[in-house]
Amino acid sequence: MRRTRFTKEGRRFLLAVALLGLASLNTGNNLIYLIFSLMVALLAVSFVMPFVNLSMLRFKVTFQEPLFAKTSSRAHVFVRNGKPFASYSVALEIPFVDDPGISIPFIARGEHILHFDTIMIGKRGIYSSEGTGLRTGFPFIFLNAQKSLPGKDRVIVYPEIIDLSSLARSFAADDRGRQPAAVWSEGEYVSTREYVYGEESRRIDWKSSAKMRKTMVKEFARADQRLATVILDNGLSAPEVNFEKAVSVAASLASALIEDGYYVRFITCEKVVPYGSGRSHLYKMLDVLAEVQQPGAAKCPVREMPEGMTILVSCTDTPGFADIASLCSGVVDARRL
Amino acid sequence: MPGVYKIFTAIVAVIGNMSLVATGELNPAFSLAGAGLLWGYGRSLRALPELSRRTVGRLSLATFIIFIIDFATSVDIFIAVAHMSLIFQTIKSFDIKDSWDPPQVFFMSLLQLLIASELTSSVSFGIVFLLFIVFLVVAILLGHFVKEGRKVFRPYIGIILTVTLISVFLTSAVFISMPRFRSGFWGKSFTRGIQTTGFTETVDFGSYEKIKEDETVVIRMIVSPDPGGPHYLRGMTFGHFDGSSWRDIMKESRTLYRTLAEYNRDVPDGAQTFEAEILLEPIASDVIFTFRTPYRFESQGFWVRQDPAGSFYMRQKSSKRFNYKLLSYDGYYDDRLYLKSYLEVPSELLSVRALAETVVGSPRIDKEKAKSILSYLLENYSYSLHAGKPSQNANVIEDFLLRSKKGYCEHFATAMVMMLRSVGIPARLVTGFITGEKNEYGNYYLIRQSDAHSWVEAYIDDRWETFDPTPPVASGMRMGISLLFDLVRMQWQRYVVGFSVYDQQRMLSHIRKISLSRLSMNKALRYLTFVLAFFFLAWLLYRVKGIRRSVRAAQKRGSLEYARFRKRVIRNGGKLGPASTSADVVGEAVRTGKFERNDVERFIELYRILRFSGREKAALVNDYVDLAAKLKR
Repeated sequence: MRRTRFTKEGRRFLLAVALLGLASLNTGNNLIYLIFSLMVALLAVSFVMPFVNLSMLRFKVTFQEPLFAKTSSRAHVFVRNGKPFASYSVALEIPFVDDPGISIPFIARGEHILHFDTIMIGKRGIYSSEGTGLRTGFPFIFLNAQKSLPGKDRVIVYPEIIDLSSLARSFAADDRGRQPAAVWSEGEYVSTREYVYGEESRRIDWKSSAKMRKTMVKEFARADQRLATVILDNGLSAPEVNFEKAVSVAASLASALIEDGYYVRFITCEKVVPYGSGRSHLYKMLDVLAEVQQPGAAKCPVREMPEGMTILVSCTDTPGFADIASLCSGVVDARRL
Repeated sequence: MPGVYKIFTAIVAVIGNMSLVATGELNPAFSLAGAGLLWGYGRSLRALPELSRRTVGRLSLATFIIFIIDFATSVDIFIAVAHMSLIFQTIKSFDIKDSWDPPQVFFMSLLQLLIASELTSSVSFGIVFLLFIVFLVVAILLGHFVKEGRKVFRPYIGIILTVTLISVFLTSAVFISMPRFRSGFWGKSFTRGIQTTGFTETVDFGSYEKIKEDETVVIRMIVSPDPGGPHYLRGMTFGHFDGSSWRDIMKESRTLYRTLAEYNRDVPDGAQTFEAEILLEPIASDVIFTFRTPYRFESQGFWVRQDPAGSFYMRQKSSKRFNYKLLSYDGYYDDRLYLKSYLEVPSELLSVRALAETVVGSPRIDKEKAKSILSYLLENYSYSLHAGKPSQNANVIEDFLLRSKKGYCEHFATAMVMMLRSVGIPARLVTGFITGEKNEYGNYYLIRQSDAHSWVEAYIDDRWETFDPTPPVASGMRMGISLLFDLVRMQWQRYVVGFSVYDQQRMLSHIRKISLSRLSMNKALRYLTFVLAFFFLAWLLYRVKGIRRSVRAAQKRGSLEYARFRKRVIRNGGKLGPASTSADVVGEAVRTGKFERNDVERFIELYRILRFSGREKAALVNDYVDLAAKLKR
């Protein structure tokens, strides 16, 4: 679908053209007609050239995953210009990307792969690539032509991860001695998870792999096994900014604990991600965090009792998990961070 | 803001100022103030600080006060605005800060061009306008690329030229096809008419002397088929002479015609016809110059008045150029309305009467009488523009015929009219122009003020015969280059300034006449093959040259930046020798800890593509240069 829109400069120019048209009719002066013709010609070029510029352009945008909010990400854009000549000053507009448009100044004939290292997405969430389009105002700035690109790919944007490793470690230090280090004895089965490229192949559990139709690994408790629970309090409605901060803090704590080798469990009002470790487990938690919302319930049902080190992340004065707050190793008020 | 963009902005501003100054209507002091912008842009290019907001505000206020005083004293808003715009351009040149400033300069220049279009119609405007289109389009496009953060413009030269050419072509197309009305409604024309003489109701004797040395072009005329000159372009006829001035006696008896609809005369069988396309500069008169017997006028639907003597006039005096097509035949007038008046001789010219009778001799037929007077004047009198004034009591014609025997066309024609009337032949004085110089480049006649002429019409054998008693004078030839310039001026006036609905109609009828059926199929195919082959060869040449050039440039640029980066790595502690490969460069650069791995890897990847692949890659060059700049930081 293609559409055009006058820019602010274009609207002013149009007004000037109209006035000059009247002036030329009024005076009958051919030299004013000449200037008027120049302005009409510039308008005509502004109308036609953007469409020519956008015609026969094929785009495919691929993001280098994982994507985190407010963090520079990398995108690869495959471009095919089927015209016998180049296109100029094309902006790629992706609805969920913060930039007003990824500017591509020159697209020569043929196929190209362009790399953009500083793509910034403002908010976590699950987005569709629908609405992605091309925009150009070339050659003049009077008119913008837009063209939608086909495709409905799904893009997951995780919350912003900030460095909270020292905070996580301070909770761990406080907690030592208060809670047992592990609930499993050494060698006890803990969970089954997907195989991650790079792990030793002897850890693959072929039976569950056959059952699940993907390569799975069984996890067993180690001697130094430590447990941690991160609870995101999303019960009561909080201002969006505070809630987003809380989500980011929960994600950051989970990430820091996983990095430190904890078995981490993640709890929200509606969901529980059971204990697990490693990066693949982190992404399971981040998947939940990418789309977590505030249900607006006064209280959250307590499905799992605190176990190991438990950190409650809140952004209101009256937490939804108020009942278990006292049992937690620590409560983090995201507003104060 | 890149220097190139500033330079083009400055050029557009200079063109705007030039358009006004070239009109010659402005006060030189303001023109000088306008030249100050060169200083302003010079400072801007040297990156010197701009004027503060307060200073700009104060200067603007002062300019506005000057504008009010200027308007109050000159009472000419156009000139006052033109003066003000010159100063504003200069102030702006000291205040070019961000990307929004150049568009303001472009708009101001456009406004200046608009004012200039009302102040002049000279060909200098055309040159300035053409420069304006080219530089405006280039400047806007540069602005576009500057907004996107581009610093290298070489890859865009092709598209900039293409868009400029398209804009020029479309401007011409729109100008030609734009619907037009005959003239404006409330517009005020600032073009002043050329001061001529001989074309007003009363003409004082001796007034021709002033204009006979004036080289201003009044008429340009194409005649086809050209029967050969000199051509007499008839203006007015005068019937009454009081001894010192001529007076038109039939002003009140003019008839109004609408040219195309009503003025269509039948051409007598066997009469020779010819067409003349006349471009008449605005003159301070309502006379329309014609050949002796026009039978049709074609023009932009204007009205004409005709008097019984066959002189034509506009409906009202116009300060605009007129171009009209005149279809004439070689005929005669036979009006008899004022015959009695054409026999009047002032009472003080008794000696002229005696002389005429002596010259004519024994009574013969009128034609022979007229011929003997004509021969007498041609043989016994000489041409001089400096005839001198007669003594206090003497009449100018008496003095010419009996004493000085020197004069110019006015003397000869008046003397002959008086002599003809003295021997009983009705005669009148005709003023107009005689074709002088022919511009061979454009195959048209150039008629100047100095070609103004007067001659005689005598009523003989029931029709008005033409006699020119002035001896021929050799005129100086003009340089070829000046004729070439005049051709440009003529085309500008004819096809731009004077372009009208009438021309549009003519163009349409020409297009209708051209049909493929007139061309034979073979001829058409031959032309088509030739044109296609030409374009194919041009395209091939362009491609081959373009590819080679871009590959060479990319390789050169690639190697240069790579060598610089290697040096930078070595300076930062990297250990690289002559045998180190680009992979070693990556390793060493990362090891120094001064460069980002991703950037270095991408930079080396681009270097390899640019240096070794030989593909077209302007976009890559830009990325490569940007990355090199980033690594430099």
